[in-house]
Amino acid sequence: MFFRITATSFLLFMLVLQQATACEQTAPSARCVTTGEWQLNVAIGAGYRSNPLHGGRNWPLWLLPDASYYGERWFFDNGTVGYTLDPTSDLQVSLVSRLNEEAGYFRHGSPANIFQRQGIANIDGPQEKFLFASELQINKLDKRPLALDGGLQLNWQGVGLQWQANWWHDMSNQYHGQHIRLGAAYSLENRSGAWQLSAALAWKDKDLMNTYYGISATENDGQAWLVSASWQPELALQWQYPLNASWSVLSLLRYRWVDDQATTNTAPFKSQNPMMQEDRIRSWFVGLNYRFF
Amino acid sequence: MRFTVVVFLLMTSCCAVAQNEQCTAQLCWQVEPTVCVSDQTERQCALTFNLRWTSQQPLSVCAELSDEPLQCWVGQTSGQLSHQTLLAGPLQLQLRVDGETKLAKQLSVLSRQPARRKRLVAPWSVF
Repeated sequence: MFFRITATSFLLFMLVLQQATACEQTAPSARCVTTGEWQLNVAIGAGYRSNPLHGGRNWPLWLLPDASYYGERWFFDNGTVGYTLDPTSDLQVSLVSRLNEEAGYFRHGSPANIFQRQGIANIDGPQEKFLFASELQINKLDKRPLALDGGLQLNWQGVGLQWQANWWHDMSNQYHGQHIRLGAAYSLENRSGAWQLSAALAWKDKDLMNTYYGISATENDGQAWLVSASWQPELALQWQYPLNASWSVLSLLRYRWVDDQATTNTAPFKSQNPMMQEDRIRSWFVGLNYRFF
Repeated sequence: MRFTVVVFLLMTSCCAVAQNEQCTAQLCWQVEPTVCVSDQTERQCALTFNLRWTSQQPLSVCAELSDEPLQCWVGQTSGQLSHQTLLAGPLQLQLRVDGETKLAKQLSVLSRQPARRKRLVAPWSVF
């Protein structure tokens, strides 16, 4: 309920805001880049990205890169390679490819992880959540495949918001599925710095979810767990305050909800997935950013 | 409208005008400006150019822009026109006599700023 109210308020807030953010403006904008040149920022600071899996290692964030190169049609942007069919169009259609990020959550635990959260009792109702829960550490699971995704991306500007829609498909035949993501971002630059509020909703199909978050009978003492397609909302806030031409203060915050429900063949109603420690991924970072070029 | 609003017309000096004049044995013409300077990276630029031609003998002359006729003069020794066009890239301006191209110039766009694009992926998306 809290999530629904928060998400609805956030979307309404963004919808009523109006601002033109086209690249024709002479003022520099983080969303606009000069074509034919690399853009490289590296931020140093502190933060982490949580791992929702039992035994999964959180990512401590000390160095964050932000690298992109845009040609007239080709682009590379933080790991995504794309080709835009018509860069001058208001609705930009691009063919895109990148590594699927799901496999990254299945790195084994480490005692060096000081951010590891223990225990997940919360207000969702422990009786229901732990009806079948028996913690399953990811080091007992088979290795999850690293997949290469390809698909289509749409970008357009509307009502002060930058919209982005993605359809991704497994090109590497690892999970044999697809996923979709729709996101909107509102950017604002004023004396207080450059702000970006964004919200997104991802849908991941059953094949993807079962490949990564399903549990086979051999992994769990003969008891298999199945997961269904999943809706995963996300909220994020970025703030950047320039100190001079090269240095700026950077703050990032993101909250992503994931599906921690699964079913067994013997009890086909949903229970907490034994491999899931929690149903959300929290990320934050605060630091200093240096713009190389 | 996606064409550039602000257009800087290149001011040509007397020397530049002299250099800009192009002659064959019988026919001379002058076109200015031939470059449209936009203040931004938009692909289209509004250019108004003036064309003047002279010859020693009466001629039937047609001015064409990318093979599209602009104006024709019959049995004249001189002529001029002013024309506005939207340039999305280089265009060829030609002066034809009896259907044969005698003189040609290229009209082009020059941007004062490097081309820019919107980023299509959110900054710091590795986060």
